[in-house]
Amino acid sequence: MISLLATRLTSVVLVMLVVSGLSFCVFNFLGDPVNNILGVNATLEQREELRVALGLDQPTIVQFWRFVERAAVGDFGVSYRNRQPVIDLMLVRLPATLELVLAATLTALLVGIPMGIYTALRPRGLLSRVVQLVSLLGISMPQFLIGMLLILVFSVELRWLSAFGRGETVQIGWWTTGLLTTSGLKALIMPTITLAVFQISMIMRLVRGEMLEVFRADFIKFTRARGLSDRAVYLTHALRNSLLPVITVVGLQVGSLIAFAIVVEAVFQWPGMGLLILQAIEFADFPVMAAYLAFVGFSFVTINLIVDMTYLLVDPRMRVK
Amino acid sequence: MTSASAFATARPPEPATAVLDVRGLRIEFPIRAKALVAIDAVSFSIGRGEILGVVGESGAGKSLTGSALIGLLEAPGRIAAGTIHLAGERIDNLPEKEQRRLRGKRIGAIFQDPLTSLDPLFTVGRQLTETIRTHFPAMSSAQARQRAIELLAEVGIADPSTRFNQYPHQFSGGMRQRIVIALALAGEPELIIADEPTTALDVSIQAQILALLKRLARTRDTAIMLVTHDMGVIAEVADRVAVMYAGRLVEIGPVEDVVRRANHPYTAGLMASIPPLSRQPERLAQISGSMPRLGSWPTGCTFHPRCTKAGPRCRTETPVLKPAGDTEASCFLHQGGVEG
Ligand SMILES: Nc1ncnc2c1ncn2[C@@H]1O[C@H](COP(=O)(O)OP(=O)(O)OP(=O)(O)O)[C@@H](O)[C@H]1O
Ligand SMILES: [Mg+2]
Repeated sequence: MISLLATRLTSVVLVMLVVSGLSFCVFNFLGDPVNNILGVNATLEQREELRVALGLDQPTIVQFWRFVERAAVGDFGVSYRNRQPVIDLMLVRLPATLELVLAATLTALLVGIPMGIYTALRPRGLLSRVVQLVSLLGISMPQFLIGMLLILVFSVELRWLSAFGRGETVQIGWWTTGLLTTSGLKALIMPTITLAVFQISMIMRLVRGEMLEVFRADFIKFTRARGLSDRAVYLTHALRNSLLPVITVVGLQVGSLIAFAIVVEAVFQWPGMGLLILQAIEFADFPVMAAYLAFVGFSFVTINLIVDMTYLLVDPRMRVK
Repeated sequence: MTSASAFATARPPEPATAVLDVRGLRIEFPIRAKALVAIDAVSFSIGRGEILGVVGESGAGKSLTGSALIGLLEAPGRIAAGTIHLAGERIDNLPEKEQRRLRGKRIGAIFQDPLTSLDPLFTVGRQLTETIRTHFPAMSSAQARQRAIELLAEVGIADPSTRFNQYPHQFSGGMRQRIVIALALAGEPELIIADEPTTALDVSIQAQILALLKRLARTRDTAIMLVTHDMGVIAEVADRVAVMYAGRLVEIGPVEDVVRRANHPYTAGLMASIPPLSRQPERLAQISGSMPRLGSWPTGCTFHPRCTKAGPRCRTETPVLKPAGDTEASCFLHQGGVEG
């Protein structure tokens, strides 16, 4: 188990190095940092001075190592666009995105898993058929469309929810949270639904498929032969066995939620990292792009690590020395 | 083995004292308009502490009979006729809830593959205690744990209190089958249905598991229905043997008599085809042709197309089990001749 952890951590480090490499390329080779900082009208001396100051006269490998060193402590340089340290821009935006992604993940799990169980247990029921039909819609509808429909109904027609922003937020240390105010929670509803619809449908279908598969397993027949109640057979034994593949997929999905959040944040003008990166792309703000890339890579790696740990927790077969 | 002498004659139990009594069992699969009959007119009984071996070719209906007994026939299969009595009480027409109360409690089951019979995600201790507490709700978890450890010891697991906390993958195939047996014993059943319990195991392990089953039948007085392909297994542990062919019981009787002096031509062929120590006579060299598939049974005696002694009566009339020599056989040779 220790060695398993060691290999996982090694692979984390390797992946992060590769991601840093990519992010370094964005930072260094796309556009000219000197031009970006001094503008086109600077003198040759000024340029040379800045090149030395930025370390751009050093060999690439040295530059890369410096980039990694600085990135490791959160220093991604200064934004070309508004001259603030990139890390500050990111930290201001981070809570909004993480709260949105977390809310969407929880919603997807809390709605998707029970619906998956229900449709597996009553495959012919009317409700199951309806749920499956709706989930097909959920999988095939583009997100921005769902978001705009929600806005049309709940903001424009019914005027229940505001169509943009996070509502009031509360500051806890450097973290700004919208979870402690009514307007903050209300503002979270539509973006969360928009972001979660696809995942709900996915998880529901996955749980349903896995459970139907597990129902056919010999050990389920044997738990029935042992006389266990339906509840124990389905909710303890069948469900636990069905959840193994679900863990993997949910892990990957949370990662992609961070990416999908870009669209949702754009639709609802949600002040998160997605909006930040959209603006950065528009202005060719390469340090911000590099930092975002590193952030996404880091998130994926962390989630993967959590998935692996959960696997260890749930499946005893993974724990063999 | 003192009580073994009681079975030396291995006569069938009187229906009144039998643990299990099956009469005229018929299982159908309604498929579209018509019903496919998979089992018909199956009657037998098992007494306390008795092991009844059930043999027959693949598809003969052995497992189906077992599933019907524990109330786990898979839909759309259903019992279309006949009765099943457990210790004198009719159980085939009980509502599902009552049937579940018997399952694991009064009728235990053991399946073929010990590698897939246990839930891989739970310790064997947890699977044992949940079964014990389902059947004895008054037990505390400490008592259930104690009981589980006793059961593990009884089925021959060394160091049971350590093993209690281990997962199925930490046991060998033979050990897992012992755990499956412990689980089948958890409700203190009167009857155990063992469907090919040793087929998936190594030959040396097979003998140990069979010895364990035999010991349980003797010490606990549990009735065991032992389904197998393997006549060697039957000869080793069974008191009586039932031979199935194409959904019907063709012969039943004490092992000695069935092996040495079979009265049904199919049984005779089956016995002649046992090369010593071999397993699974999937194809019977002595009998030409193969068993008809479900849904294409011939009229009359289902064995007549392959029978060298068949006469006109066998093609039109269906024989039933009747005493024949030292066994019971469903064959007109012993019921007034095969000529129509
Ligand atoms: N769900 C089902 N639907 C239709 N036919 C079935 C079903 N289950 C079993 N059968 C048929 O019933 C017959 C008896 O099957 P059964 O499993 O009892 O055979 P068996 O004697 O146990 O054979 P084996 O030695 O291969 O285990 C077979 O012809 C099989 O195809
Ligand atoms: Mg079978």
